[in-house]
Amino acid sequence: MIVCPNCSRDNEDHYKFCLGCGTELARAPRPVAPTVLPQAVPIKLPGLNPLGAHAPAVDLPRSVKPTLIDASGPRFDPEPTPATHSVDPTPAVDPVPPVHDVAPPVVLSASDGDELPFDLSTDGEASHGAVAAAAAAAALSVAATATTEAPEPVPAPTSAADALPFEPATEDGLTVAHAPLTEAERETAEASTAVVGAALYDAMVTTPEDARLCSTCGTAVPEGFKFCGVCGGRYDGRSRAPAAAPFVPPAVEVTPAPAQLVVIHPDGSEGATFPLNATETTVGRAHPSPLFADDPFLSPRHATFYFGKNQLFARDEGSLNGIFIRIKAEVELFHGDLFRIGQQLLRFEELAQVRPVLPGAGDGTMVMGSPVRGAWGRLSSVVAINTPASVWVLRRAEEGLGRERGEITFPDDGFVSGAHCKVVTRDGRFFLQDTGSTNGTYLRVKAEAILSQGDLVLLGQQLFRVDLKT
Amino acid sequence: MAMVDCPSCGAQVPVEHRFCGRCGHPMKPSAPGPAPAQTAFFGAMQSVGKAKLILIRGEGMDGVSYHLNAAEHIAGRKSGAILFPEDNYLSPRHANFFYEQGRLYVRDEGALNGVFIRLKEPAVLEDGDVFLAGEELFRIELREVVGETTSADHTHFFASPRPAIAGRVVQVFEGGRTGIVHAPREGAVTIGREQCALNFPNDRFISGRHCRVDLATTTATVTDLQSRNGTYVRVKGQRELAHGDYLFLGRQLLRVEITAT
Repeated sequence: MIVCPNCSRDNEDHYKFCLGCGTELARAPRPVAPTVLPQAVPIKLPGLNPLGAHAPAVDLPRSVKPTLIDASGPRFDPEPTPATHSVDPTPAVDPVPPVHDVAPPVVLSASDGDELPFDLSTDGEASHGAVAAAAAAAALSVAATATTEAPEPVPAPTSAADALPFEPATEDGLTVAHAPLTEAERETAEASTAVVGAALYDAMVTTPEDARLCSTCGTAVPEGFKFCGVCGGRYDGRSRAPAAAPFVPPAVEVTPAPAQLVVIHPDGSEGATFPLNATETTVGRAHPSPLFADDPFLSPRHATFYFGKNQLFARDEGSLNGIFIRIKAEVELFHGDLFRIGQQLLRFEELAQVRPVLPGAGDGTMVMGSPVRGAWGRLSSVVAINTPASVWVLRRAEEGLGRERGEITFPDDGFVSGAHCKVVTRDGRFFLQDTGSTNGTYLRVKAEAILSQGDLVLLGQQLFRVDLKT
Repeated sequence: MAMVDCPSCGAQVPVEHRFCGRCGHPMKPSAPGPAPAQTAFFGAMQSVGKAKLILIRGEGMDGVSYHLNAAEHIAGRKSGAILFPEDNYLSPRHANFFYEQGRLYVRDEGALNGVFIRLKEPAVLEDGDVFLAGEELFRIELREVVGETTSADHTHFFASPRPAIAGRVVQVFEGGRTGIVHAPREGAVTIGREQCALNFPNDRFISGRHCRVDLATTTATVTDLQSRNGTYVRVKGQRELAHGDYLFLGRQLLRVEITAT
């Protein structure tokens, strides 16, 4: 257990961030060293929760409700405790202006609008104003596709306005840095949101002379945006540069690989790339690349990527933690499916297929219990291998999951959006829908799946974006 | 017609019958000879008796009384003086109402679903104990959730966070499936129709705030919050009954009336 220096909460040894307040935790001795890893190799855990931290916000601005500006309420403490810095110095945190310590990227969850049930803020009045201003700026930058510099009218310090959505000040990637706005700020913010709306976005991206194209997926990137709104790739300033050079260390590649995996860091930035060759590539802890060898959450042989029928497939090699892919809109759910939202690993079960735990008597006596009353499924929170803890019963045609709203709530999980996803039944089938969550909903691949350009794939604790080069 | 009293239930049985028509108890062939010169009763119901059960809610026989005038009275689906052949939640031989030193007891005869008694004061439950609120059946689980977090090849399992929990309140569905598993951080769990920790808006028999469970390390206390229909706990082994006690046997709700002491 690691005791959080900020809120004194106990956290599991492998957590990088406090479950209660999001403060980065001092690295504890690694739990049970995997055999293949020499103890000396430092584990590069990208974050407590890749889902929460990594996922680039790919939402288009139309998904942002203007009401998000009104979001007021407690927020996570945007200032990491000193312990943070000593542990992992990688993403630079500017210690001087407190505004820098605000994490704008994830303000999409501000659109969830609700107050967190706990207020972990410890900063005083002084930083309060700065936080509010930064929150306003952040909200605006989200409104403009999560990738813009704040528009003019924002009364935020330039430093905050310049902060890129994927470069949060707190390296913990905590998502909710919103604060009560002053009346003036709110008005400005609302006005700006209206301007930088969906229509404007469309106008911006369709202007031909502005054709700044994403080098990764070819989507037009509006002026002023630094990241592609579709795939989250960083705009490198060139028009449709053939994907390449800056991303792939040339030494690694002998022949151009038809696809690659790009590490998405907890702060949303891109990291190393891993080429996928034209035949097949098996990754896992046994792979020589430190990208995989250092992740104790990968099985030795975890997943295989291969091309078939001109498509890229990912096959689960019977791994413990599997392959999770971020869902788009809606996917069908089947009995036993696993999915992740925020830090939660959830298992869906069709009630009719759940085995009774109480045996009957064999003399015709039925087991007494609560009436089922139309219940059709269950969701369990999986806390250990094959071990459910909490279980929720699904009864309505649509059951919402979220941090604050919905029938099933996770008030303690800052990586879950206010209204995150839905589990739905219709015509005797079951579906999982993402309802505009910031950090996405990830479904575990059964056997194998076809990957598309820009898919976000979770392997072990790391999040990768799929880049197809054709 | 000459009648004799059934030794089991006290009913009047014609002498030539070999079994009591009320409870099925075998009748000894009466000794030959002249009928005893004593005044016969009009019926067993006329006797004051010691106690009776009144069916409050059941299968179309609401209000029926079962006089407990014999030494013991079996309730069940197939045998006994108190028969509910249509209730599949009753075991063939479900419970026994009997007297011991003049006091009335109920004993669970190893029934699958047991006998539930309405709480008059908070009850202390242990791991695995069950209770009823409205139509909902719950089980208390106080054991720690155990599970591996590392596989045989030393891969760490990437699971949901595992908060320290006080225990679990588990809903049991008819048929034996597990429903809701509520694992709170803090020990107090309220159950009711609305605005409780566990809400059952479609249960017509549950009160707004029906009962509260306080989970502790090795025990849990269940307290009825003056609910309209009461909170019931399962009788372990046998238990003395008092006037005004309410019992659930399967779907049958019975009230105990002690008429003489």
